[in-house]
Amino acid sequence: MSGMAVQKRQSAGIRKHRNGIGSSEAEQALRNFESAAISLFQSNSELVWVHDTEYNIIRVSRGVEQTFGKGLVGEKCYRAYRGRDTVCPDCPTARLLGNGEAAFSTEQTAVDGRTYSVTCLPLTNPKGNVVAVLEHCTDITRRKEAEKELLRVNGFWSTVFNNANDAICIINVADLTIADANEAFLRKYSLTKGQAIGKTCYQITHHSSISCLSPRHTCPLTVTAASGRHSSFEHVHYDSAGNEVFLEVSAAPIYSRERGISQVVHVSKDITERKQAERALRASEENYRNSLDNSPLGIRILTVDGETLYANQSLLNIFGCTTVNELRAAPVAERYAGERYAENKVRGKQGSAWRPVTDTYEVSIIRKDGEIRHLRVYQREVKWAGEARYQAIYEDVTDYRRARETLTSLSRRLIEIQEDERRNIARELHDQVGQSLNVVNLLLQRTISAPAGDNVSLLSEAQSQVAELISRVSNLSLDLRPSMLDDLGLLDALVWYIGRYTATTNVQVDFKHFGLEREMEPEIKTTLYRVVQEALTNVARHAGVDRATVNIWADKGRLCLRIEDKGRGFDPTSLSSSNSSGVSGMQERLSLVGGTLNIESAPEKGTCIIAEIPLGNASENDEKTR
Amino acid sequence: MITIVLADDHNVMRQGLRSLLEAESDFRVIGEAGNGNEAIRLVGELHPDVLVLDMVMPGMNGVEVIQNLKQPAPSVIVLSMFAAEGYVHKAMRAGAKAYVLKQATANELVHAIREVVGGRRYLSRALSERAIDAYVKETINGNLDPFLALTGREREVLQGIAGGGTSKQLAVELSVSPRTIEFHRANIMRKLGFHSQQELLLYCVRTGILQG
Repeated sequence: MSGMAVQKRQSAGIRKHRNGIGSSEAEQALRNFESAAISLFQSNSELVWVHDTEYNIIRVSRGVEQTFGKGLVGEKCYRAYRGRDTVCPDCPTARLLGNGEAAFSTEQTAVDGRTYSVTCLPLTNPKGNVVAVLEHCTDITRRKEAEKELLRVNGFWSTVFNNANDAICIINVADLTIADANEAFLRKYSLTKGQAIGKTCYQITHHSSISCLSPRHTCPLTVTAASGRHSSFEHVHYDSAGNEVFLEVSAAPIYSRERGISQVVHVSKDITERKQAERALRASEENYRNSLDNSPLGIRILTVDGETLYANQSLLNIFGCTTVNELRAAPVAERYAGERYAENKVRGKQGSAWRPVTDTYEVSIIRKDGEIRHLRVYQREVKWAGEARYQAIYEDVTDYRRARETLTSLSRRLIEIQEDERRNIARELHDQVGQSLNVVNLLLQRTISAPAGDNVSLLSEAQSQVAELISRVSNLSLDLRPSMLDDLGLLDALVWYIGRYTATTNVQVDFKHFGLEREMEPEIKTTLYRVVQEALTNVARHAGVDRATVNIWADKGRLCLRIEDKGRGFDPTSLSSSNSSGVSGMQERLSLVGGTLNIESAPEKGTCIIAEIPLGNASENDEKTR
Repeated sequence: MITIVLADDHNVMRQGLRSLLEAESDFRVIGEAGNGNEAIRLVGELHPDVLVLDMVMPGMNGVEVIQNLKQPAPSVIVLSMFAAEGYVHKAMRAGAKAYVLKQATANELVHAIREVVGGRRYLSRALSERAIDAYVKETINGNLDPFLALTGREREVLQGIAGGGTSKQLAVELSVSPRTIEFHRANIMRKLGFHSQQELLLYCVRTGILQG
């Protein structure tokens, strides 16, 4: 069908209508209006056209011509716009004609590849029958593309949202309910989306019926809601099993046009492992530090220049300092005893620069209070805070060295005493016993050769020599070791000794005792006997008095000895060597049986010796009561 | 006739004694023992009138031999090198009838045998001249004051404690460290046998260390 024909038929339709009015002026006006309407229609840049009920195009606007080309009038609309041979399945006109809807709109893609929104308007004759259809198209290609892009973007973000490892939820600021939550969030709290949405965040993440306000639970949501800024805190949540979950929670505001911040994005990163690792690290660090700080050995970390980086308490104690700074402040030269310092410098090898070396050596130091201590140092290279440093471990061997020195002098003294005793015994045997025996021998020889009547006086003289010999030998034996100590016990031995002591020295002894009849270990008896012997010998030799007091008493746990004189006394710090070896001999004997010795004396103030020995069965008793 | 058993670990000594004793016409040495066990056995078998017993023998000493003799036991004369009172007392307490020193004259032993056979006791002349009583006097009854065991420093500290001083104050007063004072305090408690501060203060009041 040609365009003209459609146009004629259309005008005929309008004319029919006009005839119905029946006035010529009105007819003229109507004609004018009709031609104006037609020209308006045709000049319209919108896409508007009319087709009849058989889909033949009757009239098109200029916009249609511009888009789809001229000469479309008379063509089938599906042919013209969509290049089809049959009515489109989604044809709005067909539906309009089918169910008589007044206006219908649909989206279609046309032959130009663009998408249009098509709206149909039925054109009816006075009887109300649809005679033609006016269709109006809008190019919505851009909008569709935007929509598609939006969908794509939405899909992208939804993928990101749901596949993020961090738990994310969107929370409504007004009531702290959850508006949306990602898979990670739902997984963490074992919820479905349906269960999560609408619940409050504190209900789910804190199992609490009130929002969290404690300082431990600084809520980033409220912070962000108040400030409008992103916020981030370390925060503790509780998983579905109630376990603590350490989180780093970030909150970001979502603005709505009307109400400002309406929602907050809540992202929680699980840092439990990191936290636990940190804790473990801290604990292990503490362990190492404790083992350094509380080591009984002095430990120091030094730079190669000898600067102290670290010193533990034992080291400070050894040097007599209270702080590391105090230790640093004391110049090295003042810290070491002269000779040892020189050795130490030589050990440093490298000229003027003090360089510690890796080895084990001994130094003597001067403490802050001036006391000299001897140290054994084990020095090694170590890494300290990633740097090459020296670790020096100091063992205070002063007591050990002193003990060793005491021991050496004691064994020297023991040998001396032994030699002295042997010398004395030898002299006694040779000078006294030997000579007496010679005399007896001579007397007996003379008895043999003498006339029978004279030998009585010779024999009598020999007999008295022998009697003296017997007493000498007996005394010699008792001096070496009084047999009553073994045969009779401590008390008898002491009584005997004191009696003989007074007889030979003229020093009166006020001897009081209690509890000595009890059984005692032989070595304890010997120790006490020798200590009394040594002390009383010293009184006789040095005190210059004719009286001394000896008190000895034993209870179930210990044996106490107190020997006192009001004599010359002495300064215990400056004992002469022979005197001091006597004292250290007593000390040594006592310490061998676990006892102690205390000597108090001052020039012209007399001397008081107090010794204490624990008795064996005391410890047994202790064990029984334990 | 007086029958005698000799017990001495020295053979020479026994021979000497035998010749000495057998010089007496009414003495007869009927046995010799070299140690304590033998002596006990011989006395049990031979029932002598007198046992002359060495005080110190290896293994079993004279006192132990006396204590182990079967009844009726002979009169025992202890023969000893030692004049110490302890030995004498111990032997006499154990039941010896006489104590004779080896260095005494031969006559003394013969005299001692005759005395014990006559039912009397005998001590060597050197011994009987001594004041044996003194030995007994020196043993006192009742405990010695444990205060004696305190050193001068400890007494000072005790006085300080009694006066109500704290360790710190006492440390300043005696110019030592508070730790030293604590050390002394612990020693005082131990030596006096106390377990609490209260006991210590009570002791101070009782002994007058704390006045008022």
